[in-house]
Amino acid sequence: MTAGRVDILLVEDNPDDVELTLHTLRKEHLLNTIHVARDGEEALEFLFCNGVHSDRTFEHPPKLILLDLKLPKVDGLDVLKRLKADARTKTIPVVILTSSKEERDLANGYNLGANSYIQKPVDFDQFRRTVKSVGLYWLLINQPPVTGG
Amino acid sequence: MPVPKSSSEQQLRAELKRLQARLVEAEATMKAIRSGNVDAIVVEGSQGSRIFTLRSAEEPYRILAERMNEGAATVTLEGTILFCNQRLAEMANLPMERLVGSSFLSILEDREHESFAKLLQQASNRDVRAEGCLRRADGATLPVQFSLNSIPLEDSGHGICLVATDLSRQKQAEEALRHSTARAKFAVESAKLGDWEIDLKTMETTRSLAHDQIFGYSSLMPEWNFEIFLRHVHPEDRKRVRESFENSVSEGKNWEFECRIIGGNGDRRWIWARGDRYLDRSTGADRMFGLIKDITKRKQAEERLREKEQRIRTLLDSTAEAILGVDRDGVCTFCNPAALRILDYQSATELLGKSMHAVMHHSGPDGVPLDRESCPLFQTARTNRSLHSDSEFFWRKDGTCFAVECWCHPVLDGQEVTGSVITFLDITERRRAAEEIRKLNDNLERRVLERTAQLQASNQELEAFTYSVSHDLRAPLRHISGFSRILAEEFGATLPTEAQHHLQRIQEGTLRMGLLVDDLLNLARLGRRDLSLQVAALKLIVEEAIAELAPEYRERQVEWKVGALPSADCDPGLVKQVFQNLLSNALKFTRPRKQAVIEVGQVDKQGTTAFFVRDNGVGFNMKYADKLFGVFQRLHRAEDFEGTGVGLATVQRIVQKHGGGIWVEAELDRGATFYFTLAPSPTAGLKSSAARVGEQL
Repeated sequence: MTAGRVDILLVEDNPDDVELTLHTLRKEHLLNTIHVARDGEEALEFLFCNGVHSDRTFEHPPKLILLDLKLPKVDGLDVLKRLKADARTKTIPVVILTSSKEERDLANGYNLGANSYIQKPVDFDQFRRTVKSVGLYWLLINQPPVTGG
Repeated sequence: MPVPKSSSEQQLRAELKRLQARLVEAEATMKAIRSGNVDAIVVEGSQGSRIFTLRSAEEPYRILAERMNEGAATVTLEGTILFCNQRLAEMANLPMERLVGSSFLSILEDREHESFAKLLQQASNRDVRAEGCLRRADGATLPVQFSLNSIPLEDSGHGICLVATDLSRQKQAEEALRHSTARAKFAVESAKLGDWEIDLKTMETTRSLAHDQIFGYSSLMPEWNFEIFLRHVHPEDRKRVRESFENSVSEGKNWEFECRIIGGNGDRRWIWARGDRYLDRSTGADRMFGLIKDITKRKQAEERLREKEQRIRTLLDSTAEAILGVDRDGVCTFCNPAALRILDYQSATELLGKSMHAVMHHSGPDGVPLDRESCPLFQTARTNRSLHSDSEFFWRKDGTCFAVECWCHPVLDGQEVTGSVITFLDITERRRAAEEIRKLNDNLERRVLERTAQLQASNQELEAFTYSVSHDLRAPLRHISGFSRILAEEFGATLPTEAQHHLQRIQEGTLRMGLLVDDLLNLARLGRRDLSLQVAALKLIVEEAIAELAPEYRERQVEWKVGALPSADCDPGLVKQVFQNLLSNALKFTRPRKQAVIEVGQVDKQGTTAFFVRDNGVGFNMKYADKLFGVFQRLHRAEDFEGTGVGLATVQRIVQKHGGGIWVEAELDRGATFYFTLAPSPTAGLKSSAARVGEQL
């Protein structure tokens, strides 16, 4: 499906959130190559190059995963757990981007190796600023480790 | 007859011969006098020989003199014994021959010589009597009464007739009487007895001082008789005492009684008295003499003993516990009514004398016989060891058995164990109740587990709900906010002004809704969060809160007055939220003031430290004070002062979680002061202070 290079994997089931996120990234000129997975299962297939994404290889992992927590089929935290447990995917930076402000989710997220946890602000201005700074940091400023893949 | 010191043997032989001749002569003379054949004797004295004749010595008198029981003698005025009878010789313990012719003084004590000489002189004129003492030849002294009479002597003037009566028996009797009187007196006095005597004919009385002292008088009463005595007897006893006295008088019996008296000094006492009848045969006097004793102490002791016994009896009778006494062989020596009732016997005689082991402990509840010798209960009657058990079973008369709790205590007489006391209770009902309680407890425990599970389930539901609110309610808000923003930014220029205004209102509405959701979530989270208590410096907490509020007052004139604050045992994170909310409120409502003054401090309220946050803001009317702490309750219009109405509800929730209370004092346009405590008030009542303030207004 998207066998080539992907900068951002956005895992988000809500189409409104997808649209707003994409809109923001586009406005900030960060919309390089982005793939949207609409549930946890698809996200895993994308990352582990199987299922509908069996045509993909581990050669070009995404530079950043924006991960919602509340997802159909496979929950966001499960996705996080699986990819952080696998040597091939564990170095990919994961930013949890969620509506939940629950301490429990926050703690679980960090414990499972999330690199950042960001609550989606209700205020769109704040949301926009957050998405922008996250994108800038992880895509442009952060120096990723050399992946073994 | 003196013997010359240098006499020759021949001279001595001659002297002896002469003396023997004189002895024979004297014996012959005495014999002649006694037989009445001689009427005169010759006495050799210092003044030469003198002849005495016995004019009246006629034979019948001689015989009388010889037979009489008194000692008799005829003596010269100088005391020379002319004649004496056998009795006098016996009294002097000398042979009669030795007495006749010797001086009477020789058989008298030396100390009596002088008075006897006088007596002889007096006797020459008249008859005299006197007491004196004979000195017997064996050295003993014999008390005698002398009776002397002058008698004419033939040829030689007067002589003296002397009769000596032996007084020794009389003296012994007198001494014995004195001795027994002294003994009686000693007995009476040392027994603290009073003695009394009454002449039953004249009714005259004599008493000892001790007698009158018992009746409360310090000295002998001038007058005392039976009627006076009766007046001292307690009125209730008077009739009885009088009757007993009259009975003993009429029946000639002794009188003995106990009664109460009221003494002359008002003292109430108990006395015992006894009187014995005594008929004087010589005088015919009918008397009663007797003793009286103060027995108040004995009576009081008896009374105390009786009360004690009564108490013990009452205790034994009234206690619900069965009490049995057994001897060393386990044989019943006493039992109380409860023991009879519990063991189902009618009378103590059914148990007394029986082996209690055989009666009530012969076998276990399973019917297996129990050996008496190895039975620990009955061992206590032989060993000095107590025992307590609640696992024994006793048997009733009807052959049913029941569970008991029992105590066995050895009974000691000195060091020796003489038996034991067995106390027991029927604990059938208690066991049943305990079993019931155990069942109820089991049931309760099960119900608690069920309830806990239910609560856990509903807690989980609640959490799921909050999670859902947090996550799902915020998403559409974000979308509304986002899309309206994009609309305004990218198409605003093409929209009419009114449409732009509407878009603006949509933006604000979503923001407000976002705040509301956040605050509600915060409040909900508080409810299920446990306090994490630690000692924290409140002053630091307040200063941190003020610093964090800086963006809200950066461009305003605010005077902060933070007074001394103590350290408190609290959840510092939550208490900081309390101060943040209250200080944020204060900032908000002082916004119209050119110079805001916000004060934080502490005051003592009924023994508890209360903290306060005071402002000089717009205040409010106290009649709405009770609405202040309710969720979504607001006293100001949104366009004047923004807010969700959740802040003070959150503050109250936190304060209440600490066991404290919160209340407010305010006046419209003159500021408000919020007080809160972090611990229960010792006098209580502060907890509901907010309501209290409301009621007062």
